[in-house]
Amino acid sequence: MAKDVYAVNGISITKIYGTEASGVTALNDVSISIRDNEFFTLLGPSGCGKTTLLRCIAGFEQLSSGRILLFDEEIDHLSPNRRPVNTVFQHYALFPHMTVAENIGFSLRMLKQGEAKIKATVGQMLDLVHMTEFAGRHPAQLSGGQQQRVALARALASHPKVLLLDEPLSALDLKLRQEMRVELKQLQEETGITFIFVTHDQEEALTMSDRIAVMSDGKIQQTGNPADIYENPVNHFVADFIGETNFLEATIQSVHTDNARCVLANGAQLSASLTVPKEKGNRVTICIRPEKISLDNPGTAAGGIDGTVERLIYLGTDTHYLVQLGSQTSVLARIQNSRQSPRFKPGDQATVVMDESACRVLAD
Amino acid sequence: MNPTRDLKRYPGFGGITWACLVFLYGPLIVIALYSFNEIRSITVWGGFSFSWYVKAFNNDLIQRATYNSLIIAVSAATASTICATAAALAILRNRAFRGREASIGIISLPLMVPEIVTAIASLVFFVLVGIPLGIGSILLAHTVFCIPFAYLPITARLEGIEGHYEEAARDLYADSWQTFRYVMLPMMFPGIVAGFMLAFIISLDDFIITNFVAGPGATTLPLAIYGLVRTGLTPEINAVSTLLLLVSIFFVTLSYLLGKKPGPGR
Ligand SMILES: Nc1ncnc2c1ncn2[C@@H]1O[C@H](COP(=O)(O)OP(=O)(O)OP(=O)(O)O)[C@@H](O)[C@H]1O
Ligand SMILES: [Mg+2]
Repeated sequence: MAKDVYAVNGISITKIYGTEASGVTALNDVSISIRDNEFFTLLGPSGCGKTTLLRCIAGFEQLSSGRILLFDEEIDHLSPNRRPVNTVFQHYALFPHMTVAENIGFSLRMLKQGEAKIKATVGQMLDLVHMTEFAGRHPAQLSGGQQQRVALARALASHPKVLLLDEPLSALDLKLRQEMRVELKQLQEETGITFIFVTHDQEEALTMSDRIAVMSDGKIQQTGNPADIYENPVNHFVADFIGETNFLEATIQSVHTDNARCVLANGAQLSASLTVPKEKGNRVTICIRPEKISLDNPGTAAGGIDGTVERLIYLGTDTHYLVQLGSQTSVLARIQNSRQSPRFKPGDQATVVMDESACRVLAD
Repeated sequence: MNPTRDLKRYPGFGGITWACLVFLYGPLIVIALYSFNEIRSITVWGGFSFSWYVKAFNNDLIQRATYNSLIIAVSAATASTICATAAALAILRNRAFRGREASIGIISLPLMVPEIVTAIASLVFFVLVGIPLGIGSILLAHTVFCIPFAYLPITARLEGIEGHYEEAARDLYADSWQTFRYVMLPMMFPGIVAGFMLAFIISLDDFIITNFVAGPGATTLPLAIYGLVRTGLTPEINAVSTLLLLVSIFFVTLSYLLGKKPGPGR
């Protein structure tokens, strides 16, 4: 790519609801660059500003400050009906007085396309979402999953440059949700349209996205591909919000370029990778995922930390062990229930071995 | 609900129910019944006949009054429904504008003002401003006092329509007019029809205000009936009243059925 042209380029977006003085800051200086043809997910807990960001892009909210560029063009002065961006609403907002076909063709009629062309496009869209046989029905006569498909088709019919999806799967039951994940991803690949997808479900985000922006408190905490976000969280919030994580308090003993030797509270030593500048003597938090920890029988592994198994949860494919390391620290280890792996009971002594390449010193 | 706590088990329930039914509907039934009386009495039954209906239809005064009433009711209901629809959209759908609370009050206040006061005020106003009394002044007065009645079912309907539909329409390239025309209007339609019919009925049977602002020449059906009553009660009045009652029942039922239609949708 010559010069980076982003599908959506948000520059220092701030959105304050209400007055400047007594308002709610929903977005606080957010900058975000979403590439063309990307499945981009905004992930974060309730109230972090995901919907607000989508509504700013769609044009339903005025920015308090900052700019949004759509393929390098200013869109801030455009009202929602002039932005080549469409939204799939959380509760679909299908027009109840129109049939499925009329709903899908709505945007084309508003754009004053010819009847023949509209008919052809509606046909294609119905086909795309496998709803051809329901063309004549009204939304009230459809199941949740079918309404979802119609909402998608309606938003895609005018071939927008960007599709915004605000928790579109949250109203569906688990099984349907899992099916729709696959379908949505396929739809994005088939149409080549940039999808911006909002969810607070980390599994959804990890399985579908090309890239994820993790948000909290009106700020973007980290942007990266799913593996990056999961394996290399930059701060406590991201590590905690996505998946299960062990947080270990430690003090840095020595620093090598991108690696630090740390001492845990119980005196055990541990190496952890370092992506933020830290110095000898700093109090830091180290994070490590439970599946990067293995347990051995005492005395068999070198470099392990001895502990006592406190509790275990059997989950079929694997077992979660909570191991006490000294008085203040305990870690959660997820061990696969394979034939080779040793089994422990509560009260057993075990040696905890951490994969040091998976230990990270967090920024905060 | 617990069937043992049924309303019917409260003491006196049956008696009160019957009293209400008799006092409310007894007179109406008597009126309707005697409109078919053969003889010229509204208290003594003399056999069945349609003659009073025929007479009423051929009565010049009643014909003219009916014609006036219909013209006024249709026009006033149309005008007030348009105003009420616009008001409902402005009050419920726009973000807070200055005087929003005041607008709500001003629209519903006429429901609380004693009608005789409105009547006198309207008369004084028309005279002051120099609007000649007649069909025109009746129409104006009816339009104004019908607005709150039209407004009620329309806002009730609009309140049930989520804001997402408008946003979805805007998102799909509809401008404000198209959003109203293709999305909001069809969804509000049952409420608008109900509002229109309520306004129509209110206008059709108004007496007090009409009596004040009608001036010498113009007459409406309620005024005509009142005039006839003063010259003596005959079953002809019963016939006209019964017809008026039927029109009212028809419109109120229709308005009720439309208002009851489930959610936004067909
Ligand atoms: N119209 C509004 N007026 C005032 N405050 C608002 C408005 N809309 C949202 N907020 C506030 O802005 C913040 C962000 O809200 P937003 O709806 O963007 O969160 P979200 O991330 O979409 O949450 P959820 O996952 O619950 O949908 C919240 O604190 C919310 O209370
Ligand atoms: Mg939201």
